[in-house]
Formats: sequence, C-alpha cells, structure tokens
Amino acid sequence: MKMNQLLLAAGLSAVLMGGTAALAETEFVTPGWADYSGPYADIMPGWEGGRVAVIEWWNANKGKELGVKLTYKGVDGRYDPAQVASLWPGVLSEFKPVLLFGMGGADYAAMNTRLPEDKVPMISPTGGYGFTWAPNPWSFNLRPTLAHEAAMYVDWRHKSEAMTRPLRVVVVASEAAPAWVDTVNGIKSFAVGNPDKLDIVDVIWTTPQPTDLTTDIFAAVSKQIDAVIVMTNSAGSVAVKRALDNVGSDVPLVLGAHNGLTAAGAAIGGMEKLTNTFECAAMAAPVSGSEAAAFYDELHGSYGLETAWDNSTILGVSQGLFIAAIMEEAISQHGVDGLSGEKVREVIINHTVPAAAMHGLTGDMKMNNESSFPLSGLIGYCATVKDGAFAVLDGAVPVPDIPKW
Amino acid sequence: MTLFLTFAINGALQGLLYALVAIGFSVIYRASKVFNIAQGELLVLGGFLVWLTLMEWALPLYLGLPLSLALAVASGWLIERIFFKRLVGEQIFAMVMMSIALLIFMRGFMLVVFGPDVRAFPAIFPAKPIIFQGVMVIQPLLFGGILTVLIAFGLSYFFNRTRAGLGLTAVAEDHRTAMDLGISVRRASQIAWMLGMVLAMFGAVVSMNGNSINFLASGIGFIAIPVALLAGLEAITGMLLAGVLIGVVERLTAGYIDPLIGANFASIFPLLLMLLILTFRPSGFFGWKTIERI
Repeated sequence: MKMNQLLLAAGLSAVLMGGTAALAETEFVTPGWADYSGPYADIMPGWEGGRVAVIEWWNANKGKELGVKLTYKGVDGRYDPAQVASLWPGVLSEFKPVLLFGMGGADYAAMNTRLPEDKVPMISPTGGYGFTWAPNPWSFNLRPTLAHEAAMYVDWRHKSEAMTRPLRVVVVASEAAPAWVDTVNGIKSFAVGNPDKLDIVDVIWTTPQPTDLTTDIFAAVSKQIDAVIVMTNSAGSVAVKRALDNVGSDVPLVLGAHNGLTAAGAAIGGMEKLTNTFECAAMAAPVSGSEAAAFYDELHGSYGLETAWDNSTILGVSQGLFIAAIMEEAISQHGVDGLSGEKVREVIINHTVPAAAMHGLTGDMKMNNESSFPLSGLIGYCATVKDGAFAVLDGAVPVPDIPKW
Repeated sequence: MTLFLTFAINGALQGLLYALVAIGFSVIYRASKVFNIAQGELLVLGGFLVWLTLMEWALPLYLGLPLSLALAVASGWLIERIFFKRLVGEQIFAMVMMSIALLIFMRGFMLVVFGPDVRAFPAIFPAKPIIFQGVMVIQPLLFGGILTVLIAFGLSYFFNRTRAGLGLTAVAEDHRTAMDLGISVRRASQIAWMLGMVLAMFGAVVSMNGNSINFLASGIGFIAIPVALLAGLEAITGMLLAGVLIGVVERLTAGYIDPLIGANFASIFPLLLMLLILTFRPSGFFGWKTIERI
C-alpha cells in the first residue's frame, strides 16, 4: 500500500512537472511606436489594431507550439522625433526588445544612430526613403519609397494609354516633414532617369494643412499637365481635389496609400467625390475576395480585430505578420535562449519571408544590407474610385527602378 | 500678366484672411493685455463648432451658424473664466505662460473631444472661383475679405468711438489704473475673449470653407502673428494693410521665387519679416508708442 502510494505520488509529481514544463513559455516583448496625438492619429487605431490582432493570432497558433509568447506594447511617440528619442531609453531598459515595430520617418530620424548602438532592429510597414537608402540598415521598411509608388502610377499610365511622350505632372508637397521633401527628390530622380516617361512641370510647396490651393492649381492646370501627385496627408489630398473641382479641371489626382482613396474619401465627405483620383501602392489592396481579405476575416472573427479592412489596418497586419515570421525564424535558427537583436537582424537580412507567411498581404519579402527597403521583385496595385467604391484597376503593377538619390 | 494679377489679387485676399485672424490677437490684447498665442487653437475650436452644428447635427445654415456663434461666445466666456479670471492685475509673464498652457490644453482637448479624424468642412461660401478676362478670384476668400474689412472698421469704431470700447482700451493700458478709474477689468477681459472666439470662428469659416478640419489645423494662427506685429498689436484697421502686404508678397514669392529655388521660401517669408519687425520696430507701423516716465 505504501509502495503504491509512493508510486502514485511519484507519478503525479512527474505529470505535474512535465505539465509545468509544457506550460512554460518564453516571453518576448515587442514594443511599437504609435501616434495617437500627431499627424497620423487618424489612421492609428486600424494600424495598431492590425498589429495586436496578428500577435494574438501568432501566440494562439505558432507561439503555442514553440512555447513562446510575443507581447505587444504600444508607445505613443506622436510621430515626433524628439518625443521618440526621449522615450526610447525607457522603452529599451523596461522591455529589452530584440525587435521593434516602427512607423516611418520620424522614428528613423530619432533612432537611426541609436538602433545600431543598442542592437535593436526596427520594422516599419510604410515606404522607405532616399535617406534610408544606405548600407547596413537597422531600420527596415516593407515597401519601397513613396517616390517608387508615384512612379508606379507614371509607368502604369504610360503603358495603359500607350503614351509616346512623357507624362507632364505637378507635385504638391510640403517641407514640414523630411519624408515629403524626400518624395519630391525621388520623383525628380525618376524623371531624370526616365525623361521619356516623366516631365515634372512644377512643384507646389504648401503647408501640411493648406488653406486654399485654388490659385496654385489654377496656374498648374494652365500648363497642360496630365496629373497632379500629392503624397503628403489627407488634408493635402482634400485641398488639391477641391481646388481641381473649383477650377473645373478633370486632371487626374494621384495619392499615396496613407493619404489615399479611403482616408481622403472620409475627409472630403464621401469617396464618390474623388472622381478621377488614383492610388498606387506596393502593398495589398483593401478589396474583398482576396487571400489577404480572408486572413483579415479570420483576425476579425477570432482575434478581436475591430477596425475596418482598409489601408491603415493593412499596414498593421502586414507589419505584424513580417515581425512574427522573423521572430519565428530567429527562434528556429537560434533558439529562445540568448536571442538578441543582432541575431534577429541577421535573420531579417538573410531570410526570405515567403508570400505564404504574409497571407497575400505582400509577395516574398527579401530585405538586403544595402537599403532599408526591398530593392527588387516588388509589385503592387493601382486603384481608383468607381461607383463611389474602391476599385483596383491593376493588381500586379511592377515597382519601377529609380536611380538612387 | 493675368497670372500675375491672379497671384496678386488672391494673395491680397489671403492676406485679409490672415488679418482676420490677427484681429483676434488684437481684440484680446487691447481689452485684456494678453497676447494669445493660442489664437490658432481658438480658430480650430471655432471650426469644430461650425462642423458640429452643420455637419454632425446637420442643421440648416440659418440655424447652425447662429448656434455656432452662440457656442463660440460661450466658449470664449468659459476660457476666460477658467484660465484668465484670476490673472487680473498679475504680471504679463503669468499671462503669457497661461496663454501657452491654453494652447497645449486646447490641442489635447480637441483631440479628446473631436478625435483625430480629418473631417469634411461645410462650404458656406460658393467655392467656384470668379474668372474674368483670364484673372481668377477665389470666392470664399473674396467674401472673407469683405467680412474682414467690415469687422475691422466696426471694431475700430467700437474701440475708439464708444464708451464701452474706450473702457476696454483703458484696460490694455494698465489693469490697476483701469480698476482705479472704475472700469471692470473682469468684464473687459470676458468681452475680449468672447469677441476673440467669434473672430476665430469667422476665420475658420473662411479658411476651411469646403475643405477639411482636424485638430492640427491651427497653423494659420502662427502665420497671422507677423501680420499683427507688422501692423502693431493695437491697430485693428492697420491689420488690413499689413495682411494685404504679407499676403501679396507671400503669394508672389510662391508663384515666382519658389519654382526657381525649388523650396518653400514663401512660407518662411512672413516669419522672416516678423524677426525684422521685432528687431527694428517692435511696436509695428501703427501700434501705440508707449512713453515711459523715467
């Protein structure tokens, strides 16, 4: 009897010990820069909602198998380099991250020199910049530059209309953010490299919240232009569209994904007001029936994603998927013990995240050591508004090459 | 030539919009001695009040606009009561610091109450420009310019020719002296803030007409500061001339100089002018020259 009791106790202990071992999980905190009080506050709920839902999905599926839990911690950097720089030491010491969710230019400006020193790589789902087109990056972007995405439109229009002359465009920009100036420089570089495709007639410099651009657009359309490109923000998109309407012009308006059809449509009082407006981006389009939309439905139905299927949510979901895939590969290559930011960066540079792991939000994602963003193999979409709704015109538009600027 | 005239005329009208915002600085300064750095934020609040009544509550213009006006008056009264009531007779430094605090508070307040979304702003004035002989004139700015001139001369008459207005002006000279003369500084301050808020709302109606509004749309407040300083803080009608001057030069710079240098020199021109004014003529061209007994 005594022996039986001992055996039972030993068995129970073994089960309990084993169970504990099985339940033990290693936690990695992955902090993320957010903006709830700055220029991108309007699109942040979707963006961060996408990040959180993907982490939940990964923990419930892959993380459970690996005994790893990723914990997301959002930090409001206000898309302000000074704010980001001041918060970073606290984020680093408290969370000890091996990988970081970024937003874009403001984070890069604040942390470009800190990331290599602190050995923490950062992933942003937004476009890269000319000033991040430099070797040995620690900050990575999932998309090419906004200039590349503007060039997508130029290339697509040139081909679809079989044009034999360069497209004459006016670019509306602001010097309020380095990224917006960089976009102008990139578009100029594309024009220099492709004089047969693009002729920049003028650049209109304005403020981030323009009062009235009717005078500028009146002068611009008198120069026989083929398109107006605006890659700043939703307020800029609305101001240019209103100005085009005011002067009775049907010159096409080209927007970026972040200030594009859905965001500008909401800001102007309805997408149906964006006639003859286009958006090109090297990311998934917010349309139903795609693999990416099906994955969104899963996140929406089972992992608490409440925001709509739009560009901001796509930014968060694609960012979350890439980060989860990199963490998964890093754990598989190096194990959980001693996993460092340096090792994670090696994985980012050397590993190709397959399109299957990105659930249709991107194709194969291959970073490199020469630039913060992928330099080849990217495709995207060009879309417009039809019957008041987002409509993809071409879902496989190649991203053109631009000479480095 | 037609393009030059288009730039010059619309620049002048844009300058009158700056003047409208700058008159807001002047009115508050003249009656309370506070240089309200947060005037741009008041403009955004005024804009949101119009958006609230006309877009969110979908009231007709004849109901929504007067209601916005009433809400603007109430907001001005409330701001004075919360932030400036206890500063009567206090040092200028305290008022400047409170004005900075108001700016920070207002930005956060509007973010919390109205959210971060960029919203469509109603078109109160007709948006289609007038085109005559190839010269284009922006209608909302034209109506705004007429409104600004009427407001400037009306306020100038009020401050310089009426008993109540002269009482307010006395407050700007010195709080203590005004109180000794039996003038209610508290009441003057309340009127100033209510007027300032109404002017800010008119500024929002003109500047955002048919475009968009969000909590970051306060930049025009800073562009109006050089106008106020060029005219002199006390010179209400002087703002018109200063505004036209700055607006025309800014517009012509944007039209002819910016394309040559490939940068936005037009946006820093007013601020450059502000530095020159502060260096060489701090009281502006039409401001009061203070004579101090040593």
